[in-house]
Amino acid sequence: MMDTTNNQSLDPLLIPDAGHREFLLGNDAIIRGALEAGVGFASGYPGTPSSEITDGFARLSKTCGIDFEYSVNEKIAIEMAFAASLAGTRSIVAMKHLGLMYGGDPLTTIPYIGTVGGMVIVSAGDPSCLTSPNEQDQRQVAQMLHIPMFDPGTPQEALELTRYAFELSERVQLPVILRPMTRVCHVRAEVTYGALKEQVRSGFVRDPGRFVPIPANARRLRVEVDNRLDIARAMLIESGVLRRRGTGRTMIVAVGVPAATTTDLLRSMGLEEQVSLMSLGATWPLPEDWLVEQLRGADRVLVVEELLPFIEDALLAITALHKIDVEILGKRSGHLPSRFEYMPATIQSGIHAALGLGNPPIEGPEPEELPIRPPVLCASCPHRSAFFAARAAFDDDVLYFNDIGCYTLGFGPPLQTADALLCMGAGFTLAAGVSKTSGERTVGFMGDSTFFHSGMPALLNAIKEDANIVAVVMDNEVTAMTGFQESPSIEIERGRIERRVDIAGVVRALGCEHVEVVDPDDLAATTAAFRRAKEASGVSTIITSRPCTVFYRRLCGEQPAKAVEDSPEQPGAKIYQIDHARCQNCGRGSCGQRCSQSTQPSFERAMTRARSAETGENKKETPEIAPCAEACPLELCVQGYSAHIASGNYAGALELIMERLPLPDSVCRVCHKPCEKSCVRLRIDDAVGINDLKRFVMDWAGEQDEFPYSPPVEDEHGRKIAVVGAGPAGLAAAHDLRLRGYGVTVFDAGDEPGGLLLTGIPRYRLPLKSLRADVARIEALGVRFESKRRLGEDFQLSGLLDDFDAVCLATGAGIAAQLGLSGDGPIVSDALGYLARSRTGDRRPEDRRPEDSRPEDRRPEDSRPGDSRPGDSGTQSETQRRVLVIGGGNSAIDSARTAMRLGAERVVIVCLERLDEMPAIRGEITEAEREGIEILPRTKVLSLQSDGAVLAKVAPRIEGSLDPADFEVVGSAAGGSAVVGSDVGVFEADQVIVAIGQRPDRDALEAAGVQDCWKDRVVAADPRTGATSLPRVFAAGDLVPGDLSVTGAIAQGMRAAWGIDSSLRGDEVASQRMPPPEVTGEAPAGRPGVILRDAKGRCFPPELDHSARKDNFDEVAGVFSEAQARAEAERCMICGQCGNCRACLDLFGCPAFFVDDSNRIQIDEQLCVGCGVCAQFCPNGAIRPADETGGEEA
Amino acid sequence: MTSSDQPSRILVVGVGGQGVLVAARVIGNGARFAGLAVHVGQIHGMSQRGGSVESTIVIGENHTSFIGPGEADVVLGFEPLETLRALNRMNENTRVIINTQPVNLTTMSFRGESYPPIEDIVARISKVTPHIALVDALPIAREAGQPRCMNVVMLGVLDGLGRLPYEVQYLEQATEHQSPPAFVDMNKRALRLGQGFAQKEGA
Repeated sequence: MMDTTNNQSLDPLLIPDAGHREFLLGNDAIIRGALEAGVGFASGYPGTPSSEITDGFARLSKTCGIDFEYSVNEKIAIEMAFAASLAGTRSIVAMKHLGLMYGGDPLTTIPYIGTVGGMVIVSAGDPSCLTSPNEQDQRQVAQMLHIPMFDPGTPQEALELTRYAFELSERVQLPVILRPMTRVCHVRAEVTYGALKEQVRSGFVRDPGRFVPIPANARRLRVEVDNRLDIARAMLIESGVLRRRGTGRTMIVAVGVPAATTTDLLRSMGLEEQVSLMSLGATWPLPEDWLVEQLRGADRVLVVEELLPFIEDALLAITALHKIDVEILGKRSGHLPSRFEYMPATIQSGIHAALGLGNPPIEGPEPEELPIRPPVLCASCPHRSAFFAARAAFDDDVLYFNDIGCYTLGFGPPLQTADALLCMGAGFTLAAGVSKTSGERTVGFMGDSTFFHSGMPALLNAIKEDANIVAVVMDNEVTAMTGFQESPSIEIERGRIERRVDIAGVVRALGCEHVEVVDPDDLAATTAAFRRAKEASGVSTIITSRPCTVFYRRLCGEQPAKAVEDSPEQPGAKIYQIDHARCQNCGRGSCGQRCSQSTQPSFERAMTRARSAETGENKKETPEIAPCAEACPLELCVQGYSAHIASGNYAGALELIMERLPLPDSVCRVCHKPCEKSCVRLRIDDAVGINDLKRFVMDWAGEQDEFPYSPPVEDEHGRKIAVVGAGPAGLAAAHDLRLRGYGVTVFDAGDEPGGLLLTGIPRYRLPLKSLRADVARIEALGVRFESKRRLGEDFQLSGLLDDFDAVCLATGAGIAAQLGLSGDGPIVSDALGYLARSRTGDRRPEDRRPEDSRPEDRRPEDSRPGDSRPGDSGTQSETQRRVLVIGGGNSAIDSARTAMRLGAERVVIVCLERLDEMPAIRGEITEAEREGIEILPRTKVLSLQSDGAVLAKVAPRIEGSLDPADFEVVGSAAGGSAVVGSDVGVFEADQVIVAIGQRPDRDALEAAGVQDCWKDRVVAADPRTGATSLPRVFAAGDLVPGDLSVTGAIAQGMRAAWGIDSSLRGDEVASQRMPPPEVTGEAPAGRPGVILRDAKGRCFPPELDHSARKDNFDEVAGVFSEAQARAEAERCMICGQCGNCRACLDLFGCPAFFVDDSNRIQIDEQLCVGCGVCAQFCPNGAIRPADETGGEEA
Repeated sequence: MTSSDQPSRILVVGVGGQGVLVAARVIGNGARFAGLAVHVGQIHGMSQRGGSVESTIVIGENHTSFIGPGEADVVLGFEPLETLRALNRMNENTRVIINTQPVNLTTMSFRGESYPPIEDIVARISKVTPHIALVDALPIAREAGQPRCMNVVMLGVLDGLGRLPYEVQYLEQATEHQSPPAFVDMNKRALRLGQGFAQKEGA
């Protein structure tokens, strides 16, 4: 039902008949009282609870010839009303108690000059601060300024006192202040009318001796003021405004609403005979003689008045002066409180306590402790958008100063844009003052109406003083808080808003040079404007301009046009819905891991993310999974740990990393970083330094007194697994099996666990202590390691199957591929063997084995890295002066860089690939080059000869193949001397290291019982489970086909663990912890082509100086400082969805959002009005026009 | 029950936008048309923006509209949690009528909490008074024409339960008086459906 009364031809307030009864709000009764006094002018500034008075006059002024204006502030409203009075017109001006103080200056002199036409000032009081920042007792102001004050207690009294106030005012030439409280203004009761009165406009008659209060006149007029008050006292007695009912010698003196309440109470308590009640409809000036007379007939008096003991003190003074023997009780006697409004129970307990009459009030049931339901900014309020954008630009870096209006509601979570709030217009002043004394740039907010009210001089002052502030005028084109009164910025006509005063023009005219006007519902544009203001200095003024949605709809019957449409095909959506396929769904549907953490989007990051989608080539193609996570074999939640690092929550980041990565200390050093290759940011400035961030977290964790993460381990259930091989795959499988409650024993041929990480990766990339930290954590979980135990020699597969429930084979690829190069001349080594034997620094000198001998003692195909049988030679002596490395992968680079460290004078890498095709890690290639290693791409070694190798320039016959046979020679210079600079010829080499791949040792494994499960050179295994064709035998790592990277091997190990668990305990149990799915390739290209308006360059960690890398294996890559890590983490754009995202609730706070019984975020269809602002920033892209998601499921 | 010379006190509670103030005004106008004295009090302003709203109606010879602790004869709750918030004003004889359709609290949503079960709310109220009527007013309002006439449905239930101190014709008159011409028929329907619901429930 709508709040409109049936259209009648005549406004109820204009019904002429005396004696007519109408159901009126107290505020309307005041209007009627003024009409019955023939009022001709009304003005005011809206303020609860007075607003309906000005609203009523605004309405009536169109039909009944009253001049009315909403003045820009109370001072002007009072001056206007006084001017009307001087011109011989009865005038009324309305405001709330705060306004009386703002408009106080003219009031101080008006009583001296005196009124001509009767003048009434309505100053509505608000005890208990129901809708105000304070409560105040205006009676002392009346006394101070010599202005009579009336205190109505009911709507009927409000009517009668208003009418009489004009009469008194005109008679004594003083204005009258009418002080209705909230419980009069906003109470609706039946009111009996008097007759309407014609206006009198007698006109301005010159009287400079009175109207110009120069000091000489003022002193004369001061005497006049007292005379006027004396007449007023006499009139108050005659008029019945002060009245006494009953003759009991016990007396209650009451004022305003408490007088009405006391009347009811005396009746319900049955005390009407016993207690007489003096009701004071006026509280200033007090007629002393009349009061003396009343008090002489009383034994004791209880004074019932809200707020200050104003009457009580007057009575105490009178009784003392006149030596009247009567007890004055009330606040000073401790029977009644001197703050907050008086409820009936307050007065009843006062009567009971002070007078010993009646019963104390009943207390009622204990109230329930419930969450409060505070007012909030409406759904679709443009202020919310403006605050959101301001937070996106400034976040917590600045102090925010707010002002009086709807936007005050920005103080609460989540927007929190009010660090201080004072009074109308102080938003800018507080900002400027704090800025001046602190040196910080600050932000001040106020609305359009407040700007005109008192913000203009505040802004002028800031400009004059060159304050370092951002002044935000939130122009919603109406005074919304108090019920949609017009603001000077607009003129409201029927169904139309006309712009009248241009705020930007005013601000520029005041001297502000940086002025921007933006539509706040365009979040990106508004955020950008705030960012510019952030970077500027002096006064920047941002005017956020968009009409109040509620008012606009009421006035125009439709929604204002949207700032940003969802798409050209779908303009003007009516309401929005949550797409639950995207909301709180991280997109990794296959992983099934319960992620406990959110990506913690801040305003700024939500906006960055939103803009990446907004400016993308195809904004609808928001990725579900971040490209980095999609490319990661472990599907690590990069955006999650970046967000945690950005916010300083390193423990949260560690948890997100280690939930899915069992070897973090190693991987953060050796990963091939497919994530960084797919980073959306790569196409803006540079990829986020993802692995460096991981490294930062791991180093941080290592520095803590106690390692801050321990994974949840299931209770043991008695099943046992043997893992063969302690490389990345075997370690990962062992780790995950242990977490699943299995007893795990790892058999490994090496000296210590690590496999390829131990023997194949040089120490300057992966220090031994980092690998050992990873292994130690796995061991601490309860995994048993048996090193120096080789399958086929020390045990057989059949034996394992006897002792264990299942076996996981992860023996890796130990046989190096050969090129078939031969001939006298350079020493030929394979990379795996070379690297394994070059583990300088691993062992203390005394650990060196005396039997280590030259590599030539062994056939190359026998080389098995990592074992320490006779034949290995981990010594410097193997490395020769001039080294040629064949291959384009990591082993080639590692070998080359190792050779450099072991004293080689010249190292050259030849590979078939182009430079940009080399499979080695990009950064490693760069480092190699910086260390002086030469790379000859598209080059093949044709043959070896006594003094070196014959090189030829080649081109591929078959694109994509790396088989040397598929390349044809396009240039050679067989014979002759070395001409390396021209890529062809003979390279004089003492040593050739072949790094072209490796394969499992099939012969040895078959001999150990691993039979009938081979496909070509590798073991055939289900890529999802690692299951082989042999019962209870699973395989992972380089032994099976697939990803050859370290992280790929780890993922395979984790999948094998799941496969084993699934086969032994069933899918349901096993799937409570899912491994990462297979990565099917690099993340697809063509993801949003993002334009970032403010790219921040990538941070790089420090590294070991090139000159310090010779002759040692010290780690090259350093770690981010904390500041670097946080800055780098902030570059992450949160490209993917998040399973725990709550950005709409946590950052935006539109009341249309709620959490349903199933803990899902929903949009209330009754509250959503379709502004679509939330859809602009939803990081999951889950907010869609309602008709797009195809309706809501039940 | 209060004695007949005592005023009848009706407390209407709900959330800004639900039509609490309008409903209170209709009850007040009905009293006027029935020749009874009435005062209707309300606190608005900030509360309009989705906050808690209440209006007090005191019918009978009186000068104010306060309803103090334990004083409400009727609590007409447009929203369950807001009804519970008025617990302090109830006594063992208070008739409580609750629209069971919740309006979610942003203060809870921000904390990720969901709304408490309606059964809990009713259980807590029933510790004070057994006279509780539950109304799912939204479908009834839809049947009448629009969700927004939920407040009129609730007035119908209030009347149907015999808790107004005046004849139904005055409530109908007040409803019509208050309705814009285009909504008169819908509101009359809503009133009748509310009355029918109350009589059918026989509460």
